[in-house]
Amino acid sequence: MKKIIIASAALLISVAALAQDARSIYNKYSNEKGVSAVYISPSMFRFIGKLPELEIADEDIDISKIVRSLDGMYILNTERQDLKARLVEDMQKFVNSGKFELLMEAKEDGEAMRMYKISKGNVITSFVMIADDDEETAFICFSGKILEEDLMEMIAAASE
Amino acid sequence: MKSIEDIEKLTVEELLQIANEDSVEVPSRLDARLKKVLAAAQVAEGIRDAAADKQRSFRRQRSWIFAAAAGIALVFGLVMNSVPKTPKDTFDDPYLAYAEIEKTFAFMSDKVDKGLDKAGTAAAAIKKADRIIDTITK
Repeated sequence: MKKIIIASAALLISVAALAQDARSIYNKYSNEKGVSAVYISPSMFRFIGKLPELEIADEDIDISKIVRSLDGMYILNTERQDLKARLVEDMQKFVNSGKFELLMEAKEDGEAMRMYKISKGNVITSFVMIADDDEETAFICFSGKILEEDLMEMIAAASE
Repeated sequence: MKSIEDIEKLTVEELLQIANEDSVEVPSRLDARLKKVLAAAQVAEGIRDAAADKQRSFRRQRSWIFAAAAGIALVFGLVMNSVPKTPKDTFDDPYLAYAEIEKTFAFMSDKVDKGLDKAGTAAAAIKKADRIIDTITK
Protein backbone atom coordinates (compact mmCIF):
# COMPACT_ATOMS: atom_id res chain seq x y z
CA MET A 1 0.00 0.00 0.00
CA LYS A 2 2.89 2.29 0.91
CA LYS A 3 4.40 1.64 -2.50
CA ILE A 4 1.12 2.45 -4.23
CA ILE A 5 0.83 5.77 -2.35
CA ILE A 6 4.44 6.72 -3.19
CA ALA A 7 3.97 5.78 -6.86
CA SER A 8 0.72 7.78 -7.04
CA ALA A 9 2.35 10.82 -5.45
CA ALA A 10 5.29 10.62 -7.87
CA LEU A 11 2.88 10.37 -10.77
CA LEU A 12 0.87 13.38 -9.59
CA ILE A 13 4.02 15.47 -9.14
CA SER A 14 5.24 14.63 -12.63
CA VAL A 15 1.82 15.44 -14.08
CA ALA A 16 1.80 18.81 -12.31
CA ALA A 17 5.23 19.56 -13.80
CA LEU A 18 4.04 18.56 -17.23
CA ALA A 19 0.98 20.77 -17.00
CA GLN A 20 2.96 24.00 -17.49
CA ASP A 21 4.17 23.31 -21.03
CA ALA A 22 3.71 24.99 -24.40
CA ARG A 23 0.56 23.04 -25.08
CA SER A 24 -1.11 24.07 -21.84
CA ILE A 25 -0.18 27.72 -22.43
CA TYR A 26 -1.60 27.44 -25.94
CA ASN A 27 -4.79 25.82 -24.65
CA LYS A 28 -5.13 28.50 -21.99
CA TYR A 29 -4.90 31.50 -24.33
CA SER A 30 -5.86 30.29 -27.81
CA ASN A 31 -9.60 30.76 -27.26
CA GLU A 32 -9.29 34.22 -25.70
CA LYS A 33 -10.66 37.16 -27.68
CA GLY A 34 -7.95 39.22 -29.35
CA VAL A 35 -5.46 36.36 -29.40
CA SER A 36 -4.31 34.91 -32.68
CA ALA A 37 -3.24 31.32 -32.27
CA VAL A 38 -1.66 28.85 -34.64
CA TYR A 39 -0.93 25.21 -33.99
CA ILE A 40 0.81 23.03 -36.55
CA SER A 41 0.82 19.37 -35.59
CA PRO A 42 3.52 16.77 -36.27
CA SER A 43 1.28 15.12 -38.89
CA MET A 44 0.84 18.45 -40.70
CA PHE A 45 4.61 18.86 -40.69
CA ARG A 46 4.87 15.43 -42.30
CA PHE A 47 2.43 16.61 -45.01
CA ILE A 48 4.44 19.82 -45.51
CA GLY A 49 7.63 17.78 -45.81
CA LYS A 50 6.10 15.91 -48.73
CA LEU A 51 5.22 19.05 -50.70
CA PRO A 52 7.15 18.91 -53.98
CA GLU A 53 7.45 22.69 -54.16
CA LEU A 54 9.40 22.64 -50.92
CA GLU A 55 12.39 21.47 -52.93
CA ILE A 56 12.48 24.87 -54.57
CA ALA A 57 13.95 27.10 -51.96
CA ASP A 58 12.61 30.54 -51.34
CA GLU A 59 14.53 33.14 -53.30
CA ASP A 60 15.71 34.97 -50.18
CA ILE A 61 15.77 32.35 -47.45
CA ASP A 62 15.78 28.58 -47.64
CA ILE A 63 13.60 27.39 -44.79
CA SER A 64 12.81 24.01 -46.30
CA LYS A 65 15.61 22.23 -44.41
CA ILE A 66 14.32 23.58 -41.09
CA VAL A 67 10.69 22.91 -41.92
CA ARG A 68 11.52 19.27 -42.65
CA SER A 69 13.20 18.91 -39.27
CA LEU A 70 10.27 20.33 -37.28
CA ASP A 71 7.51 18.27 -35.71
CA GLY A 72 5.26 20.74 -33.91
CA MET A 73 4.69 24.47 -33.61
CA TYR A 74 2.67 26.72 -31.29
CA ILE A 75 2.22 30.43 -31.99
CA LEU A 76 0.34 32.93 -29.85
CA ASN A 77 0.10 36.63 -30.52
CA THR A 78 -1.93 39.29 -28.77
CA GLU A 79 -2.28 43.02 -28.62
CA ARG A 80 -4.61 42.87 -25.62
CA GLN A 81 -2.93 44.88 -22.90
CA ASP A 82 -4.78 43.06 -20.09
CA LEU A 83 -3.54 39.68 -21.33
CA LYS A 84 0.04 40.53 -22.24
CA ALA A 85 1.48 40.56 -18.72
CA ARG A 86 -0.22 37.25 -17.84
CA LEU A 87 0.97 35.65 -21.05
CA VAL A 88 4.57 36.82 -20.53
CA GLU A 89 4.46 35.55 -16.93
CA ASP A 90 3.25 32.10 -18.01
CA MET A 91 5.80 31.92 -20.81
CA GLN A 92 8.61 32.88 -18.43
CA LYS A 93 7.44 30.25 -15.94
CA PHE A 94 7.50 27.70 -18.74
CA VAL A 95 11.05 28.49 -19.90
CA ASN A 96 12.33 28.84 -16.34
CA SER A 97 10.87 25.52 -15.22
CA GLY A 98 12.28 23.53 -18.13
CA LYS A 99 15.76 22.82 -19.32
CA PHE A 100 15.79 25.87 -21.56
CA GLU A 101 18.92 27.87 -22.01
CA LEU A 102 18.92 31.47 -23.15
CA LEU A 103 20.13 31.74 -26.72
CA MET A 104 19.70 35.45 -27.32
CA GLU A 105 18.21 38.43 -25.56
CA ALA A 106 17.65 41.97 -26.82
CA LYS A 107 16.02 44.69 -24.71
CA GLU A 108 15.39 48.35 -25.36
CA ASP A 109 12.77 50.88 -24.26
CA GLY A 110 10.26 48.37 -22.98
CA GLU A 111 10.83 46.11 -25.95
CA ALA A 112 12.22 42.69 -25.23
CA MET A 113 12.99 39.65 -27.32
CA ARG A 114 14.33 36.41 -25.91
CA MET A 115 15.17 33.14 -27.58
CA TYR A 116 15.57 29.91 -25.66
CA LYS A 117 16.57 26.44 -26.70
CA ILE A 118 16.88 22.92 -25.42
CA SER A 119 19.57 21.07 -27.27
CA LYS A 120 21.41 17.80 -27.38
CA GLY A 121 24.83 18.48 -28.79
CA ASN A 122 24.29 20.69 -31.82
CA VAL A 123 20.69 19.54 -32.32
CA ILE A 124 17.98 21.82 -31.01
CA THR A 125 15.00 19.80 -29.80
CA SER A 126 12.89 22.72 -28.49
CA PHE A 127 12.96 26.39 -29.35
CA VAL A 128 11.02 29.25 -27.77
CA MET A 129 10.88 32.89 -28.74
CA ILE A 130 9.17 35.48 -26.58
CA ALA A 131 8.80 38.91 -28.12
CA ASP A 132 7.16 41.61 -26.07
CA ASP A 133 6.81 45.30 -26.88
CA ASP A 134 4.33 48.09 -26.18
CA GLU A 135 2.03 46.93 -28.94
CA GLU A 136 2.08 43.16 -28.91
CA THR A 137 3.32 40.00 -27.26
CA ALA A 138 4.27 36.97 -29.29
CA PHE A 139 5.10 33.45 -28.24
CA ILE A 140 6.60 31.04 -30.73
CA CYS A 141 7.50 27.54 -29.70
CA PHE A 142 8.59 24.71 -31.95
CA SER A 143 10.11 21.31 -31.50
CA GLY A 144 11.92 18.84 -33.70
CA LYS A 145 15.50 17.96 -34.50
CA ILE A 146 16.93 21.15 -35.90
CA LEU A 147 20.63 21.53 -36.51
CA GLU A 148 21.78 24.65 -34.69
CA GLU A 149 23.81 25.73 -37.75
CA ASP A 150 20.71 25.52 -39.96
CA LEU A 151 18.69 27.71 -37.64
CA MET A 152 21.49 30.24 -37.22
CA GLU A 153 22.09 30.26 -40.97
CA MET A 154 18.42 30.90 -41.61
CA ILE A 155 18.30 33.71 -39.06
CA ALA A 156 21.53 35.25 -40.40
CA ALA A 157 20.29 35.03 -43.99
CA ALA A 158 17.03 36.68 -43.04
CA SER A 159 18.78 39.51 -41.28
CA GLU A 160 21.07 40.32 -44.22
CA MET B 1 -38.46 -48.44 27.92
CA LYS B 2 -39.93 -44.94 28.44
CA SER B 3 -41.12 -42.89 25.52
CA ILE B 4 -39.87 -39.30 24.96
CA GLU B 5 -43.26 -37.94 26.15
CA ASP B 6 -42.90 -39.86 29.43
CA ILE B 7 -39.33 -38.62 29.93
CA GLU B 8 -40.45 -35.01 29.25
CA LYS B 9 -43.09 -35.32 32.02
CA LEU B 10 -40.47 -36.33 34.64
CA THR B 11 -39.13 -33.79 37.16
CA VAL B 12 -35.44 -33.05 37.62
CA GLU B 13 -35.36 -35.01 40.89
CA GLU B 14 -36.93 -38.02 39.25
CA LEU B 15 -34.40 -37.82 36.41
CA LEU B 16 -31.49 -37.61 38.89
CA GLN B 17 -32.91 -40.59 40.82
CA ILE B 18 -33.11 -42.64 37.63
CA ALA B 19 -29.54 -41.61 36.68
CA ASN B 20 -28.23 -42.78 40.05
CA GLU B 21 -29.96 -46.12 39.80
CA ASP B 22 -27.45 -48.90 39.11
CA SER B 23 -30.20 -51.21 37.99
CA VAL B 24 -30.59 -49.22 34.74
CA GLU B 25 -28.50 -50.89 32.12
CA VAL B 26 -26.36 -48.65 29.87
CA PRO B 27 -26.10 -49.89 26.30
CA SER B 28 -22.66 -51.42 25.78
CA ARG B 29 -21.54 -49.25 22.78
CA LEU B 30 -23.07 -45.97 24.00
CA ASP B 31 -19.71 -44.59 25.21
CA ALA B 32 -18.04 -45.21 21.84
CA ARG B 33 -21.02 -43.70 19.99
CA LEU B 34 -21.01 -40.64 22.24
CA LYS B 35 -17.28 -40.15 21.63
CA LYS B 36 -17.89 -40.39 17.88
CA VAL B 37 -20.70 -37.83 18.05
CA LEU B 38 -18.53 -35.44 20.12
CA ALA B 39 -15.58 -35.88 17.73
CA ALA B 40 -17.85 -35.25 14.74
CA ALA B 41 -19.19 -32.11 16.49
CA GLN B 42 -15.62 -30.90 17.06
CA VAL B 43 -14.68 -31.49 13.41
CA ALA B 44 -17.82 -29.68 12.26
CA GLU B 45 -16.99 -26.74 14.52
CA GLY B 46 -13.42 -26.65 13.12
CA ILE B 47 -14.72 -26.63 9.56
CA ARG B 48 -17.18 -23.85 10.44
CA ASP B 49 -14.36 -21.75 12.02
CA ALA B 50 -12.07 -22.32 9.03
CA ALA B 51 -14.84 -21.26 6.64
CA ALA B 52 -15.50 -18.13 8.71
CA ASP B 53 -11.76 -17.29 8.72
CA LYS B 54 -11.59 -17.80 4.99
CA GLN B 55 -14.63 -15.56 4.49
CA ARG B 56 -13.09 -12.82 6.71
CA SER B 57 -9.80 -13.01 4.82
CA PHE B 58 -11.64 -12.89 1.48
CA ARG B 59 -13.59 -9.81 2.66
CA ARG B 60 -10.33 -8.13 3.73
CA GLN B 61 -8.73 -8.95 0.39
CA ARG B 62 -11.78 -7.70 -1.47
CA SER B 63 -11.72 -4.36 0.38
CA TRP B 64 -7.99 -3.95 -0.46
CA ILE B 65 -8.70 -4.66 -4.10
CA PHE B 66 -11.56 -2.12 -4.09
CA ALA B 67 -9.34 0.48 -2.37
CA ALA B 68 -6.51 -0.10 -4.85
CA ALA B 69 -8.91 0.07 -7.81
CA ALA B 70 -10.43 3.30 -6.48
CA GLY B 71 -6.92 4.75 -6.01
CA ILE B 72 -5.89 3.82 -9.54
CA ALA B 73 -9.13 5.27 -10.95
CA LEU B 74 -8.56 8.50 -9.01
CA VAL B 75 -4.96 8.85 -10.20
CA PHE B 76 -5.98 8.02 -13.77
CA GLY B 77 -8.76 10.63 -13.63
CA LEU B 78 -6.38 13.27 -12.30
CA VAL B 79 -3.79 12.41 -14.94
CA MET B 80 -6.33 12.59 -17.74
CA ASN B 81 -7.58 15.90 -16.39
CA SER B 82 -4.11 17.39 -15.95
CA VAL B 83 -2.55 16.38 -19.26
CA PRO B 84 -3.31 19.19 -21.69
CA LYS B 85 -5.46 18.15 -24.62
CA THR B 86 -3.86 18.17 -28.05
CA PRO B 87 -5.17 21.20 -29.92
CA LYS B 88 -6.74 20.97 -33.35
CA ASP B 89 -4.54 21.82 -36.32
CA THR B 90 -5.11 25.44 -37.35
CA PHE B 91 -4.71 24.60 -41.05
CA ASP B 92 -6.10 21.73 -43.07
CA ASP B 93 -4.05 22.74 -46.08
CA PRO B 94 -0.28 22.09 -45.87
CA TYR B 95 0.38 25.01 -48.26
CA LEU B 96 -1.32 27.42 -45.85
CA ALA B 97 0.57 25.90 -42.94
CA TYR B 98 3.85 26.33 -44.85
CA ALA B 99 2.96 29.95 -45.61
CA GLU B 100 2.35 30.53 -41.89
CA ILE B 101 5.73 28.98 -41.03
CA GLU B 102 7.41 31.27 -43.57
CA LYS B 103 5.63 34.24 -42.03
CA THR B 104 6.71 33.15 -38.55
CA PHE B 105 10.36 32.82 -39.57
CA ALA B 106 10.21 36.23 -41.23
CA PHE B 107 8.84 37.66 -37.95
CA MET B 108 11.59 35.93 -35.99
CA SER B 109 14.24 37.22 -38.38
CA ASP B 110 12.86 40.72 -38.10
CA LYS B 111 13.12 40.56 -34.31
CA VAL B 112 16.65 39.14 -34.48
CA ASP B 113 17.58 41.83 -36.99
CA LYS B 114 16.37 44.52 -34.57
CA GLY B 115 18.39 42.84 -31.80
CA LEU B 116 21.51 42.77 -33.95
CA ASP B 117 20.96 46.44 -34.89
CA LYS B 118 20.92 47.26 -31.19
CA ALA B 119 24.08 45.20 -30.70
CA GLY B 120 25.66 47.06 -33.66
CA THR B 121 24.75 50.45 -32.16
CA ALA B 122 26.17 49.32 -28.82
CA ALA B 123 29.35 48.10 -30.54
CA ALA B 124 29.75 51.45 -32.32
CA ALA B 125 29.31 53.27 -29.00
CA ILE B 126 31.91 51.01 -27.39
CA LYS B 127 34.34 51.66 -30.26
CA LYS B 128 33.78 55.40 -29.90
CA ALA B 129 34.46 55.16 -26.16
CA ASP B 130 37.59 53.11 -26.90
CA ARG B 131 38.83 55.77 -29.30
CA ILE B 132 38.26 58.52 -26.71
CA ILE B 133 40.12 56.50 -24.07
CA ASP B 134 42.95 55.85 -26.55
CA THR B 135 43.21 59.60 -27.36
CA ILE B 136 43.32 60.51 -23.66
CA THR B 137 45.86 57.85 -22.73
CA LYS B 138 48.24 58.64 -25.62
